[in-house]
Amino acid sequence: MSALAVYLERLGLTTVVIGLIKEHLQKTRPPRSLWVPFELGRPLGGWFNKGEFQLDVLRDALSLLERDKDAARDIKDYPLEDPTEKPDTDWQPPLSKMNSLTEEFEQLEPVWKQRVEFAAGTATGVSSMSVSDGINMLEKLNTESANFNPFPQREGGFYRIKLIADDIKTYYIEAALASGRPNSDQIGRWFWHDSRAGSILRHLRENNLGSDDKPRQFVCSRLLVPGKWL
Amino acid sequence: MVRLADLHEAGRSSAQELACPSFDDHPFTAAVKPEARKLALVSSAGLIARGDAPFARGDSGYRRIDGTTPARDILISHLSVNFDRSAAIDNIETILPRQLSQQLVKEGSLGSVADTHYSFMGATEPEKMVSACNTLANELKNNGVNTVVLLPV
Repeated sequence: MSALAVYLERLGLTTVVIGLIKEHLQKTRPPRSLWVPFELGRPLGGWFNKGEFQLDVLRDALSLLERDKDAARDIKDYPLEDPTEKPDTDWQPPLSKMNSLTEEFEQLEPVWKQRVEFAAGTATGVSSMSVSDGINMLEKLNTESANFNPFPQREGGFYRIKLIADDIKTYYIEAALASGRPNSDQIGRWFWHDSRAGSILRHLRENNLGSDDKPRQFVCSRLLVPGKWL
Repeated sequence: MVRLADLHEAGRSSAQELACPSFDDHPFTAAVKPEARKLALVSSAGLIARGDAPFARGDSGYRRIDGTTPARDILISHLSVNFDRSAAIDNIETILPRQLSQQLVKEGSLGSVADTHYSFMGATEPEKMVSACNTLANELKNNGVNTVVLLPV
């Protein structure tokens, strides 16, 4: 993104980068940048105080537009931490690991629906497959032979499995957000250590680390399980 | 606090793998007055509107996110699993603040907000995005946009 700011500025647009990794800002030195001390994935922090926190970050970023050329490239540090990074000590995971993935999915459904109603919709859908079909697909992958691949290369190959996994993870995150304000660490710990879905995805990764099918090996080794939860 | 040293090992190596060029030139386009600023947002989250094709590996293009697209029809299709998605799933304004930007217009720090916003997928090497960036810059200028806030994830 910092490089894109340089490209766009060359073409006559005024830019501000809200950057998460200070070393990247220091190396690329975009025309104007605000460094925010937040978790990766959260350039404006977690949703807080009806967006007032996010507005404060944006105001700070836009204040850089007032700088002259000499001062503009100095990286500005945003002074506050993300108020939502702390764990919610009252939060309880929606369920503990079930024996069957289908059972787990069904048990979560009422909680998930509650959240979807509150949020006026779901963020699942990137795979273009329903989450229940995705769950069935994952279950099948877990039980079929090691070479089973439901999608030919012309239909996206094993990359489709990554998108299905993303939808399943989103489903679980939405269920986790139905009550309380768990932070990403609480959600991740529950999903990757105490859910059947997380367990199956981890196994899928491990079982395919040595696969001769390179796209499959790449997807499983890099695009299913966050490094933090290996 | 995200400095590379603070990340867990896998996250650190993932972040270090991201191509991060340095430049000899220091382009600078002076900002116009607040009331003349028309803002567009650019995310690196691989955002798509529901139904659009997800970003593929090495995809150097961008997708348009219409200002009127319902929040729940904006989906993350980024390749990487090494960044938090729960904040964006909770509220997409945390990575693409379309509605909040309208508040900044009311406050007077912006003149207007563009009808369309944009997303690249940050995992692609920046050098491969130059062509798409040129196209995007033309599109932005044709739409009267003069100010861009970039929000990497």
